[in-house]
Amino acid sequence: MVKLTMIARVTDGLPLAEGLDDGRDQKDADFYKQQAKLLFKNLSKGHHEASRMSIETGPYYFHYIIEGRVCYLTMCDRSYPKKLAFQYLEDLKNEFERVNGNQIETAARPYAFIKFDTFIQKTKKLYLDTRTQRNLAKLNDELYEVHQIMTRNVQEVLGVGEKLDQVSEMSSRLTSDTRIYAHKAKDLNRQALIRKYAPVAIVIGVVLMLFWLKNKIW
Amino acid sequence: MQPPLGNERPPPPGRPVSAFVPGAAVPPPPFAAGGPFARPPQSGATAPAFGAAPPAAMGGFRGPPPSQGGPFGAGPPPQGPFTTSAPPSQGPFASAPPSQGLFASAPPSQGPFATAPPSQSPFTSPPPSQVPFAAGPPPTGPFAATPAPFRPPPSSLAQPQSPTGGALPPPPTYARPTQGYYTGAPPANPQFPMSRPAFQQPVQTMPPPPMGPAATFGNQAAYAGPPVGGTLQSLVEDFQSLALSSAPGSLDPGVDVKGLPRPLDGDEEPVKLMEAYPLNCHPRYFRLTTHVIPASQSLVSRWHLPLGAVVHPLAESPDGEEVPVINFGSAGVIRCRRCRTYINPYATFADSGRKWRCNLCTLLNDVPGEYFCALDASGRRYDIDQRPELSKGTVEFVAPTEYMVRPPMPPSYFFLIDVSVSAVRSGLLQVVAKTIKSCLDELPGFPRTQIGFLTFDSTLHFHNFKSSLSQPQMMVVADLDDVFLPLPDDLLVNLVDSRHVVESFLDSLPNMFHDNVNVESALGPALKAAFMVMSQIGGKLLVFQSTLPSLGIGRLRLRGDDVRAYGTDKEHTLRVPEDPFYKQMAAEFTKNQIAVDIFSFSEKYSDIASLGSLAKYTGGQVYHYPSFQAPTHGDKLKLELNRDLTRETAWESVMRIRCGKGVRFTTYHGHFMLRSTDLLALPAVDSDKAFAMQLSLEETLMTTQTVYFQVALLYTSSSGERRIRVHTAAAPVVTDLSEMYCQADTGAIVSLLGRIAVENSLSDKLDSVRQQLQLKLVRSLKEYRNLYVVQHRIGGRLIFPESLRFLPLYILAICKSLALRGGYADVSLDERCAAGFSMMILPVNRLLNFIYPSLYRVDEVLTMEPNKIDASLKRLPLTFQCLDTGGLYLLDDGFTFLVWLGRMLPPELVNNILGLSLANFPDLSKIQLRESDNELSRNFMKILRTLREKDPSYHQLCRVVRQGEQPREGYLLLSNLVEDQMAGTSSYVDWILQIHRQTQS
Repeated sequence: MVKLTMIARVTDGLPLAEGLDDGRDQKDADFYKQQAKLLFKNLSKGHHEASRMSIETGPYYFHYIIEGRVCYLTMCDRSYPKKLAFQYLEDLKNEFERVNGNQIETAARPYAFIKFDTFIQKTKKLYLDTRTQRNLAKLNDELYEVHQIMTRNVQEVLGVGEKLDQVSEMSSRLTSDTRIYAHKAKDLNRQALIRKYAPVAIVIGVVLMLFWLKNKIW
Repeated sequence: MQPPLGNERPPPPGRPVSAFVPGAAVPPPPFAAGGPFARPPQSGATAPAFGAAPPAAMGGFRGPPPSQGGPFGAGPPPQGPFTTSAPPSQGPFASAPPSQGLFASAPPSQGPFATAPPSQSPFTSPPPSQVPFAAGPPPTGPFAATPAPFRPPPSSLAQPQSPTGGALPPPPTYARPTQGYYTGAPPANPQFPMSRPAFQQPVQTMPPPPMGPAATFGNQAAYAGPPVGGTLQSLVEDFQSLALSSAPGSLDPGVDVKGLPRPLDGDEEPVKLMEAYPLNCHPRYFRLTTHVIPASQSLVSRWHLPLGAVVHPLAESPDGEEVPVINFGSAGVIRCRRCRTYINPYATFADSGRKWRCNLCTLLNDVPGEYFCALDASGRRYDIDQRPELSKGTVEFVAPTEYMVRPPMPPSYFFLIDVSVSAVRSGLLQVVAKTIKSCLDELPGFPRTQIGFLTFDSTLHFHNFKSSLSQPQMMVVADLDDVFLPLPDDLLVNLVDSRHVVESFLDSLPNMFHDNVNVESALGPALKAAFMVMSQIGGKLLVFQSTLPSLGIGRLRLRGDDVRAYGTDKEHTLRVPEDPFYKQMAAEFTKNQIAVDIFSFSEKYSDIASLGSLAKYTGGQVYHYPSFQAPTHGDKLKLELNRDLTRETAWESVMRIRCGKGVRFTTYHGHFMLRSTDLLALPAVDSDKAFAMQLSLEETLMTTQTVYFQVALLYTSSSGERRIRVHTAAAPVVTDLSEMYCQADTGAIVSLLGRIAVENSLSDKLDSVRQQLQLKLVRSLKEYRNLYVVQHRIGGRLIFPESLRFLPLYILAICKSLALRGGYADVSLDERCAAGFSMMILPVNRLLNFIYPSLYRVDEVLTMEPNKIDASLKRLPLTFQCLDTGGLYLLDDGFTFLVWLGRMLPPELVNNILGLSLANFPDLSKIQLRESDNELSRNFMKILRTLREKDPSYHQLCRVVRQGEQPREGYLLLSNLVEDQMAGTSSYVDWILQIHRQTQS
């Protein structure tokens, strides 16, 4: 059954709507919400390939579809039929586009379409029980094919971004380190020079001075 | 100037009056002191006369009218002097002039205090110390100015000439004014210019005032001069100093009842501050008790009043002005990195606009690229006009995702209704059901609004509002020890979806429990159940309680009747919650963003102290309707519940006040839960709630010039937007105590003091709370006195700064307020606690009106044109002496209207307004005012309506009481006349005297 529902804009990860009583009776809801938000962030950075994807996380699956720059995401039990989950998202998408389609790009504040939660609520109830006649019919309907949808692990997905971030961070650290190194090397070089020739120079200087004094006095 | 004037221009003054002048001269004896001014010769001449019979002479003086004072040989002479001597006479007056000076200058100064001829007051009390007189000189200046006013009308002139007649009558009148309170002066001779009365003073000694009519300066001077002597003078000084330094005002103790300062115009917002700091938020949002910050710890300790602020974050703007909303978009809200201050008009930009300096902590922050704008030559941004956050003290920011712990929740309302027998009998259920039903359309947050109901007596009744049902289902849970929800969903439902079910529930609610005879009330378990239903979403919980909770956890016992506790050290325990359950529950509620409003209806003790703590810690409100009866209280409940449900509310909010370096807010007073040291958690907050807080200096010496304050309220609006409302204000740092007094804000001080007093009453005896209040007042006035006592001779007078002129009265009013007055027998414990809870949330203006209610005389305006009525309603001082037995009066304290019918009120009037005759001795406590078909009644109801519209937050219940109807008159009206003496409390005059004595010691 559906545990979480979130709708966000892909371009910048701005949350647009969310199911209302998501996470009720669920202790780790916050953890998964956080994960979902990370996913959105990843998506907004362009780390996504498929417009439909399932991602396993702990005892649950995230399912999402991306359509018209909006990502519809839901979290279900592992046992919940994928087909129904995607049907559910499809329903949300149709309604959301119908109601708010033209304002999606201009939305400036988070949860600008929070009013949509009542619809999420209602639709969710329809999908609660997998064995209702309606849902069974949908399951048997071969028109909607979900086999090709890729399944990946959440660590993988989030990891990609993380690793990339790490690499870029390391490389940038490397550049700044090399710069510091070059600077220090120059410095050392100079110091070595001084150390090498300074005594000689001083001796010569003293001698010359003596000479000069001598000439002056006598 | 004066003296010369007087002397040289004898003609003008002298003309008719000259005669008087002499009279005036009489007074001189006292003047002798004034001598310098006066012309010795004449004064001498007259003086003797006076000396001889000053008092008697009075008559003599009048003498100008020879008829009167035979003795006046003097009299005639004066006339002679007229032409010639006139000058001299004036001479003596010269000294007198001072008095005039007084007039001229004094009136204004007094203005604040007295409505009436202020000048009189001073005189009345024959100034003990005449010495001050010497001060006289100042008068000269004024003198010049004064002449005009004094000149008597032509008629008066005429009088003088007929020496005999005219003068006489006046004296008597005058004499009275001095003593009389309200009787006084007005009646004075028509001929007398209004200003005269002031002179009266002398009356006792010098009846002659009639000369006044003479209207020469000299004369007048004379009047004032002699008798008044010292006081006048000192007054002069003070007023002058007042005018100069805007500091001290003065009072003559015990004498001038009428002239005592009274806040008949209600609250004064310190709007002028806006001129000094145009970038500040409006004072209705944020008021400091003194709009300057003391520079050192020692200064703070000398300022004995509380140092702090009153914050009313969602105050409604009277002109409907909207707060500008700003969305920073991708730049994010611009805040200081270190202290998290929001960008505000006082922030300065540097480094050609790439950096901004935080005005609170002076840290230099980067300006995000999206927000960058170049600076002009003076360092201002070019786009300042397009950016309200840089030009306005009050703005709202749209909060980005980081400011949300969860998506904005829909506004939800859950009703917990006691349906035990008393609720059924009083007709409460009908009113509640009907009101809620009528509000359904206006509940904020359409279409997301959620609603739910739970009824309880000795069991809990849950109601299933599933949208597919046609009728709500009721489920009864009898297990009070282990409460559970019989259904997972549909107890709190979307209003739009389940509208028909909710409506049919409300229709049937009164009948459903019609025959209920259950007397128990399981409030504790019901609260737990409500918590389980609401904990996910939060929202508002409205509790309708009509008996003492008697079952399950949180049951309370009768303890209010424990008379023995009063006056002992245990007294205060009656005012604090008995059972920790309520406070724990409140903490849970706040954590889950649930605000609790308590509506209490019991006719018996229902322990508001305990119930109220639910509201206290959740940002809620306590409504108390003692002995609720639907016919009488129905309207009040209906309108207040309506207001509670439909007003604009901010949900899931937190508030924090930041302030610049060196100062810190220490204590907060109001209804909220403190989440960390300075974060107020407010599950719901609206325009009817204000908060107060105290300030302390962290450093012993302030190094900055200005201290900034920033109030930030983060909230979810009913429409589901997350917003941050930010108010910014600046206050200068001063090193001078008198400056602090000068900028003091009485309203804020009273509001803060009132809250502190109410809180103290939870841990202390009422008596000592009142003493503490008095002590604070005394200390601060003493300190103020010490500031001026050296430079000015302020002998026997109480002085206080202009800005605090109402403070003594307000503090007296707090001591006599419902929450703090008297002892056990004076106010029932529940009412006292309920009033205390109200005082903790009331905004400044409403609090002031609550402790010092408005009193209007209505019968006189009823016959006027309807559109003129409003303007002609005048507030009267709260004393029984203002009540005329032939009048109809209206007392409005914001919660109740009290209509007082004088004994001599024409029966037709009563009949027209009340629709019944008093002759049958009807039971006025049950009466309800309805508009009937006559003009008086229509006008009367219109007055009530306009007064109610001024403050929509409460609906004033109208009660009628007849003069002499005991005991109702006593507790309804007399106890509200705060200026009168009641059992064990002092009257305003005594209070002032008391304060005065203590400031001197």
